[in-house]
Amino acid sequence: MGGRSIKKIESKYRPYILLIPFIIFIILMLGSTSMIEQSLGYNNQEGISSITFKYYEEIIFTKVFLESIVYTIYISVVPTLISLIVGIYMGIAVHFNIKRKNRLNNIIQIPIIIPYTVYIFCIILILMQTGIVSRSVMNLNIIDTANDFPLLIYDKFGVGIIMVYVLKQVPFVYFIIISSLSNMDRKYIDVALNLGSSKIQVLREIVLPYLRNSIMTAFFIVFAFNFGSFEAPFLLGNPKYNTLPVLSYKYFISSDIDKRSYSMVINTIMIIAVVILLHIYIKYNERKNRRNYEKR
Amino acid sequence: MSEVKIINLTKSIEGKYILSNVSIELEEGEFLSLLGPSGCGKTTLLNAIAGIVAIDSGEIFFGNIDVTNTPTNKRKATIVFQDYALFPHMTVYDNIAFGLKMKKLSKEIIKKEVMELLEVIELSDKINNYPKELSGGQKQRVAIARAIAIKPMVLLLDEPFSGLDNSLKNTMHKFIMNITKKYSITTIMVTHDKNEAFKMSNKIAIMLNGEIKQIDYSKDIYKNISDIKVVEFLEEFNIIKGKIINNNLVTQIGSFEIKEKQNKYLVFKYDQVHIKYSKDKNEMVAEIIEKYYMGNYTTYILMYNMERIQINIADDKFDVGDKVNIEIKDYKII
Repeated sequence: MGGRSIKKIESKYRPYILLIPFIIFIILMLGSTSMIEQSLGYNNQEGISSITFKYYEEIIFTKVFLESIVYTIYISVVPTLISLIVGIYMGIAVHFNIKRKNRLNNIIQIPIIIPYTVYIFCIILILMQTGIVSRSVMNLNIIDTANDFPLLIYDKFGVGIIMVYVLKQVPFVYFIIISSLSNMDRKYIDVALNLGSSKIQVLREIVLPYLRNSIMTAFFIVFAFNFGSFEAPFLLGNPKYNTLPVLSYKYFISSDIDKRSYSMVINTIMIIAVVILLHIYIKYNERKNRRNYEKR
Repeated sequence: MSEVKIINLTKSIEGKYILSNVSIELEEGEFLSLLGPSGCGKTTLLNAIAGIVAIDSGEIFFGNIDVTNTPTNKRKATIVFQDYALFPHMTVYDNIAFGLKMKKLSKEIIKKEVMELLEVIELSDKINNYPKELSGGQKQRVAIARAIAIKPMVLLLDEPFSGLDNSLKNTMHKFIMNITKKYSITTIMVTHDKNEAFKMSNKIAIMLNGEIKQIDYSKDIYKNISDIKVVEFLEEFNIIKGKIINNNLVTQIGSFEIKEKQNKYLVFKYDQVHIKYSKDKNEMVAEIIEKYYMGNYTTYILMYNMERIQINIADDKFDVGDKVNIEIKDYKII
């Protein structure tokens, strides 16, 4: 009873806890109290005390902002989906095929504790045009010069960014799936097989519906992180294609004081977007049917 | 030809035999109860028949088909687990339809079959309910309907009544007896309740320590009892050990003629003894040392020539300390 209550509390606050890095980033970079004020043109230091939506109007219909939104969604959704597919597959494959998985789990855990920055520099060293892969391919005489190697970082498709996210987030999804499956009663699978299901049918009809809530949780957490993440797109992204956090940062460090207000507008919009996402997640959690699949 | 034939089934885990040379033969529509104490291997045997547990050796035939190596999903032996294991994310309709959907039957056929079964189990009004919204008895009916929907050759029931109260148990006994009869399904039920086994089945197999010690038609179980372990398990018999002297089993309560030299126990049921007050002071008499009211009968514990004897009779006029003569109406020497 006690354990279950703690679990419920953990589950309720988990999204908030996991959003702390994003929230700290916003607070540290800009100062939460003055950010919204500045986005509305209110600036005591400059002696402007009236409120205006002009900065919103000026930025949200610009090509650079709209492209940034599209790119941010792309850079958030693609690695989220790849991480989910790979993480779910790994979790299911390991859970049902490997009996002693403690050592394997310890190994899979390692990427979670390595900081993003380390991954970013590893990816740069491996994938840049003068990197390890490029030189190896050149040594094999497959390409003549480093320029012949495809652009995998600083590219417009964000391959490097996606790879960093996927490498870091697959183990996260894996652990959500494996811990969920460890609570599943094996009997449901035995019953489904006994009633004539093939293994694929068991996966589709029993295992995946059981994992639905965990998958949704993993999706919301990973997507929200990718949406607000700054360092990977900043260090690995093509300067022409900015995610919202990167665009905000560029406006913020601009010498033009007006552009600071654009930065505040972007940050405010990001906060609103994440709060909406959080609201959807919480509503989903409230609405979802908590069916008793757990071992008795 | 037998509908179910199990030959010398053996299963061991880490060198310990869970099932040892188990053999069973059942005709179509027969209802067998696997009766035994907890941990004797009943559920393992049921899972082995269902194909959920792999066996070490032996053969299983359904009709003339050898299903020993057939995977569970192609075996046509459906199992109803003790806790029913209804899929919690599916409605009553979807649970019952599950096996039919897996067979990829048309929606019309599935609907027809499921609606018919819902009528039979009298749960047509619960069609859209989820398992958590059902009572224990309703869950059980759904689980049974789900199992028989795919028209199995054998229905396997694992302690189906363990979670139900007594009044519901009686209703469910009748329900299962009726439904297995209606569809003429060969059924094997695991139970540790002998009253349940005798009430519901036409055959009973008594399992002890992974072995089937006796398998008989229910009415013949007591008549053909021949193993002292079975006698002990049934807990309805006085067991008096004796010595064999000149074709007689000599016990503390008398001498009995024997047919086979290995027989050394006199056994008689608690309700197969008469007692009456002793009038002859010189006659060897028993003394009542304990008395318990059991509702519809009274249990007396007697000491008779250093032997402890239990008697269950309707008459409660005797008291502790009374001296009585005893008369054994029916006994066996095994």
